[in-house]
Amino acid sequence: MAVQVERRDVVTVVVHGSLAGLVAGLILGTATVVGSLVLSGDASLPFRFAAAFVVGPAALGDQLSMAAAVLLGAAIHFSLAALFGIVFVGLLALTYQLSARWWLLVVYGAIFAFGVWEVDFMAAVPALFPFLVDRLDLPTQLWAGILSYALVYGPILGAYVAIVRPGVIGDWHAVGPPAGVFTGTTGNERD
Amino acid sequence: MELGFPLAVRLTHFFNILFLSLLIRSGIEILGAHPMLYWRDDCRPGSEWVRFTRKRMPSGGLWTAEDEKQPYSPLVALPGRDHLGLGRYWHFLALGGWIVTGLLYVVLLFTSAEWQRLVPTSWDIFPRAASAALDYLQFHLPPEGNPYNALQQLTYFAVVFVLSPLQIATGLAMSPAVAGRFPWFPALFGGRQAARSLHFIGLLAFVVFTVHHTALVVAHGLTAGLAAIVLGVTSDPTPTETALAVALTILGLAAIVAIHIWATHDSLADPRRMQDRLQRVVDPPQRLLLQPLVSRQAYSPRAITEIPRPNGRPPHDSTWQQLAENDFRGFVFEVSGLVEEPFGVSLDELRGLGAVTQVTKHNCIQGWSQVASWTGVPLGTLLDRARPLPGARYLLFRTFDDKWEHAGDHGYFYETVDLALARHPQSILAWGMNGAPLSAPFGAPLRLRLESQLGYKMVKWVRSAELIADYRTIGEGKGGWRADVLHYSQIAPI
Repeated sequence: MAVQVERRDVVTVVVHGSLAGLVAGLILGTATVVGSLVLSGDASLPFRFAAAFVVGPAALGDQLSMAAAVLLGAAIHFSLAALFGIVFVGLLALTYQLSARWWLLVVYGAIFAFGVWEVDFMAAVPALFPFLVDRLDLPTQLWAGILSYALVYGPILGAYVAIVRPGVIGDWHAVGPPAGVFTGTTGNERD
Repeated sequence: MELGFPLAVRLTHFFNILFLSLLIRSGIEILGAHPMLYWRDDCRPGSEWVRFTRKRMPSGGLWTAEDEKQPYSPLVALPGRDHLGLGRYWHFLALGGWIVTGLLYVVLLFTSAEWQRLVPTSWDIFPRAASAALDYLQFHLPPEGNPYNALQQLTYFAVVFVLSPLQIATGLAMSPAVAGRFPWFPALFGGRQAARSLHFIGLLAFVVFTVHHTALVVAHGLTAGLAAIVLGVTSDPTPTETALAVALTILGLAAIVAIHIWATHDSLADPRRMQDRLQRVVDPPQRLLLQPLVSRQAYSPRAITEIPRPNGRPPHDSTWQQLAENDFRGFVFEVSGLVEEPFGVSLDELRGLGAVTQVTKHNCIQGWSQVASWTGVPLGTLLDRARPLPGARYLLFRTFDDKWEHAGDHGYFYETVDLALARHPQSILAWGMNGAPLSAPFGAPLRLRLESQLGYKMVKWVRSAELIADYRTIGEGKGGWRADVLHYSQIAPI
């Protein structure tokens, strides 16, 4: 009797996950650059930091030109933003949450992004890029890490899903009193 | 005194992993039976704050609570594929194991100096924990504690003495059996559905804790951590000790995985056999705990649910269809079997036997609840009139419900009720709901209301009653259609 309210397919997840990630990544990137400017007076630091994932410690100095750092850093940042966007939308689809309430999606986004920060900064950096550890002082961790991820990237991911509703083919609230409950009819007449 | 990892701590840690993982998977199975969470007990359709299903109910036709079920994969649920009855058995079994493990751990703590490993003795635990968190943020390991640092100690304390009791308490508050005896208890959490929501959030908290706990063990040094929690070695382990700890860890985890695979496979392959096994362990303590306490419900008419859920679709049985078309005017309810005085009565005559009205909460095994007013004749009155013979032990209710909506031919819906339950003051044969005659979706012309039982015992579309000596000769021998087909229990006390 029930009808499906969500459609789960890989293309929807990949396309909308990427888009959600890119939109959220753009705003996160902007916030991070502004934050870096305020905290350290150097707007290029986030780009160099991201570029160092590929180039290594050289990206943190003059050995990598500003233009190359910005291009490479932005490419890595947006690639990761899109990748995590796909993971986020994929997790929502797996748990039937694409049609969830908007505020819940924002909360999901914040929690997910906090987890991404933990994986990125607390696990991947010390394990794979130990030369970056010294560059992550406490203010940078608190702002560029926890706050910008959990309060910018994640909620925007959730907001994207809440607005676009990828894979949703029905309304959350399309319910009412079951027909026949108050009418005294049998409700299910013989076919 | 240096606090290490004594054998009892290590063993309870292992069994905690086992039982907690069983609880989580069987809990997911139970959630799938009604994959929506609410804050209010009326479970008004559409008022759920979260749901884990992609179904919606169409507004153009009758839908029932059965339609709302969302079967989950055996990869996440125990056993999966819509086996609520077995999921509940596994949950209660694992709960027993988890509580025993937890009690042993707490007794161990407080009968030795080990309590100091978890219980903070000074308020400076908070600034020290904050300092430890900042150390982690800056990729430094905080100073070692005895045996935990302040953040670990505070977290473990919260998990053992706050989160775990809260999970047990919200689990109890979800239990209609507790609500029937101590109505004030669920009210502490805002009602049964609020407790259900909090129970789910507690599950998430356990998952988040487990992930971070494991990650920090890795950060602190995986092999040293394993040597401590598996072998009790707190100083730098030797290569042999490390190898042994890793091997035992793999063995232990493999044993837990094997138990899950066995439980899932055997439950799905032969549900009846697994039902028999689990029933033998779970049912007796349930009876023992609940029997001494009387369950009695009484709600205000103001609490009546505005939009009640039906469950199960009205029969296709031709006799019932004809009776329904004539407003059940020709219907005769018969009582027979092991009685001195078999009789048959029309609906009007039944109403003349004496009516009682009770406002009660219907507690479905799926997880939802609703309040309604029911009017009918006490089963005790019918028994007095029929005068059971000495060998009669159960009332067998036969129905018009041909279960056409359920795949496979499992015969007409039936249920058995022992005579003690039948004589419960809130066990009635109802013909009225919320001040009006029963409507078809809710069981017209007659339905059982056994307010000390879960909803599935309350048969709808009742045709007749028969007194019998033993239910094992009826159907598949389990005492009811749902017990036969869906592996529910013959008893469902609340």
